[in-house]
Amino acid sequence: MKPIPSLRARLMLSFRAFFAKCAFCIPPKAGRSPGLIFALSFISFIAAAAPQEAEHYVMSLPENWEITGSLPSNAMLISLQGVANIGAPRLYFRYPPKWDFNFCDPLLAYYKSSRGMVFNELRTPSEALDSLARFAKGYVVWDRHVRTSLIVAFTAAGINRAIVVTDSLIPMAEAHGLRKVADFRGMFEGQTDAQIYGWAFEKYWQACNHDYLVYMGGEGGNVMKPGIADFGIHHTCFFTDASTNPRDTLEYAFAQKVFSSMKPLGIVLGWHSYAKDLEAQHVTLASGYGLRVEGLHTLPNMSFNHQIPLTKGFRYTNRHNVKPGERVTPGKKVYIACIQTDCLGLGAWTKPGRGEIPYAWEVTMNWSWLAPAMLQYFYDMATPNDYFIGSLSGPGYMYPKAIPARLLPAVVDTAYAMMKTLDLNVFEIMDHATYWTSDGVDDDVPGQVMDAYFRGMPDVLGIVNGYRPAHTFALRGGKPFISYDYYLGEKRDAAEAVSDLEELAALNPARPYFLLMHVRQWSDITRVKGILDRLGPQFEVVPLDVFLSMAAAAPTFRTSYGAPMR
Amino acid sequence: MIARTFLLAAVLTLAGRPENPAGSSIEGTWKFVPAKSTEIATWKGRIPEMVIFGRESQVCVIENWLERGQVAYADTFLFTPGGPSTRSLVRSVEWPDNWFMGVLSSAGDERSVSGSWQTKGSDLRVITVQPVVTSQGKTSITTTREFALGSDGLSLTVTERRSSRPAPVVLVFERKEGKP
Repeated sequence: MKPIPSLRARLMLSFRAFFAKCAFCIPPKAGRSPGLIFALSFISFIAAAAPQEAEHYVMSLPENWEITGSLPSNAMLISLQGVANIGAPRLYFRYPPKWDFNFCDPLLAYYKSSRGMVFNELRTPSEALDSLARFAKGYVVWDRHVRTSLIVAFTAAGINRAIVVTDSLIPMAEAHGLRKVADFRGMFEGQTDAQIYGWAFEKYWQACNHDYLVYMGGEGGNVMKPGIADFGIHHTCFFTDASTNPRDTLEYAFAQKVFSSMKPLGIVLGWHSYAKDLEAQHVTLASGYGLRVEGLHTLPNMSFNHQIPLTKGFRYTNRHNVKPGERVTPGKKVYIACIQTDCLGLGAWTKPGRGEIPYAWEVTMNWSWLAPAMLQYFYDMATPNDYFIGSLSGPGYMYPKAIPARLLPAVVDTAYAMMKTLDLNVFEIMDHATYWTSDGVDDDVPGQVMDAYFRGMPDVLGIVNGYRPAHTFALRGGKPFISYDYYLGEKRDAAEAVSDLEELAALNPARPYFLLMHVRQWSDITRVKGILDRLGPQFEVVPLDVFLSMAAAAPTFRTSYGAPMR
Repeated sequence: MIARTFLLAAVLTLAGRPENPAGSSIEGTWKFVPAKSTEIATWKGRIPEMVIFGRESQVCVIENWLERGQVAYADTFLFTPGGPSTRSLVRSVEWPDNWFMGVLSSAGDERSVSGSWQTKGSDLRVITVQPVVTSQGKTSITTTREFALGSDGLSLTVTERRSSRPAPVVLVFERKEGKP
């Protein structure tokens, strides 16, 4: 449904448009009254001096992201978003229902209700160009036969303030007054990605922003989902999907070259290529250069969200259940605390059941400055049962064992500063730096790594660890370090999940038993509650901060560490 | 360990097969049928495969865990039917049965295996006592596995009862060779 602008907004737009035209279009007709000209000029001056209310546009994107389908048009629109949002948030996309991040519509509604923002709906690419092509300085042509040319085109688009088009879209771009600034048709045919990226690096790297890098990975082959490209174009980022698999020697060397050329603690936006390497390889390599990964490639509307400030007077306030210094004494029970990982907004937040049971949520801490209002949305929507925790191993997604020891204190300090801003007092670590060499027993951290976190985060209530179950447990200065004892997969049969939890309780006979559970993000809370409700009276689900306080009071776990990375 | 297991398999296969009145034998290689089985959460999503062979004096059950069709991990249970339990050293920390639970095998400790025919040649009971490590320390799991050959000789049902688990895990297999 097309949004109807408020009466005030419509009047303001009409008023400004009319008088702006008056100011520049008053024909110097002989005999026109100087008084009238003065009056019109004065009124138009007043109109121009009035606070600028940005024009916001919203458009729905289709489900198809194939090169042979709607990707060319979608990529053009996302690049348009990147350049149109320079200077002000103008264009917002509603992504399709199957998109990774599912908060586009609720966030749009939140912007309307909390900020009074009014959006004009755009229905077609041509309509989008009608309204916003004036913010672009040209177009870059990518080659539909060479997928990687689109990734390079995004880089070129950022530098040239351009949109990306295929040959079939050139007439539309030119009809809107845009001129060609680069043309990759036929240019990369027969070349490897290492060669293409090598050329792009020589051509564009110096002109790019070195604080951010965009990994335009994710799906491979005929599909690309470049949701983060608007932000990358907006910030003049270099784009790549170079493999971080050490076996891909040339691309791996290129990835090392780019990573080593970035600024310390730089941000690697986007995601690794599912067709080339593993998440663990990607994050390990980035962590090795002290870089923080900020996923995913599908993260939507960031050039827009980046520019929406917090509401006046807002402070991030967590839903704490334990007062500072309070000691919670456990009973002889099995205590379960649930944490949903894998980033806010990817899964259960907008799904049924939130608020019905205590739940902890990984906060994507960089959103506090990358998209503050978007993070405010989650804080504003939180129920008393929603408890936020800092993540993931650093100020972004990193692997502690792979971070050079000389960089780890700065990583921890930066993360801790964000936790203070976000009112978080539990931190989460995850490490898969040895994923492909450990045969799946790799979630643990050595004692000295654990100590670095506790040293740098003196006021935390505790630290949690893992993704799959892990086996690092300790108490440091009265604060627990607890690993996941259970991973609830989204497809796990409910009856079997109940049996798993009961079996864990049988295998850990001391009471209290602290059973930390990782809930994969695709499980909605109604399903999780259904599983937990089937457990016997010896089980109790508690908020994570209560869980950690009790674990500190009665640590029944065995102290255990992981081995250092070789 | 895998190479040793295959050598053992070759020796025992050549040594002869147990008789079965119905004419079909539990011996052979068995392919997992997930649709008929309990939903399992195996290590790295691996798929189990059973290889059973032996004679009256010794039976060998190999539980292969397949990753992309290749054996990534093999668990071997070797015993004399009706005889005393045999002991072997646990060499890996992997506990292949369930990757979602915070349980590891206790490498360096001994595991015991015993077994007996329930119906000679077709129905087998295997009992293991497996040392494991959990967040509270070391403990052990006693698992009773009932292997039952289907009447057509083409299907095998393995019912696993762990001392620690309230409900059994039922795994159904079909004969890989396609005929008894």
